[in-house]
Amino acid sequence: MKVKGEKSLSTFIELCLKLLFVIGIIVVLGLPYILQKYSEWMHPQINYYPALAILYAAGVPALIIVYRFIKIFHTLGEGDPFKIENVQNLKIISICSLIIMIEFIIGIFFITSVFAVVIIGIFAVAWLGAYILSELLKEAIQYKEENELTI
Amino acid sequence: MAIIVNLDVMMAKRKISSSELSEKIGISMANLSILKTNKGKAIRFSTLDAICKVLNCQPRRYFGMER
Repeated sequence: MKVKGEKSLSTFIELCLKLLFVIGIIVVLGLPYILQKYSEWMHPQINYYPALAILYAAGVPALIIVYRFIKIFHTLGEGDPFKIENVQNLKIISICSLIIMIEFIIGIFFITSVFAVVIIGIFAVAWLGAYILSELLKEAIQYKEENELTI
Repeated sequence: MAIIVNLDVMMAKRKISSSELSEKIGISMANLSILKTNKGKAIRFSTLDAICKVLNCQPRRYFGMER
């Protein structure tokens, strides 16, 4: 299976991410309504306004992460992912993951749920993983340039 | 870096064009241009060997040191 280039796995994932981005925007915009309905039906132990604030503050970085992933997969679809912009994209993804992690560490006092703990775990891994990958990509780009400029 | 490539001087002496040289040594015009404009980072011995054979002179003639 083709991983990069036209009509490959990465263009398919790019399409999925674009769909996810649109759904994400709708969810973030409709968050007050969704949260209200959720607390009416499920009666969870949440504090409405602090929970809303935390979900908004986590939703926006999450959208940024998806947007940056779209950019990365777009360069993969074009066939050349070794670009310095992708280092920047991965750095921003790692920073956004860190922000979400910190917010949920604070948020665990307002949203008493096991999912908050899971989210903290996932974004801690995403934060460090994205940071390490960005450094690796930077090294790889340097090697590639060195190789290309050896004639 | 203080090393400069004087390939164009030698090419002028031998009256050979870039396209002809690139064809004879078997590298692309783009790569030859990188070499001539000092943008390259390294040169393979095989490339140097080919240039020396085509232009018929010693490797030291192609390089200079900027002070």
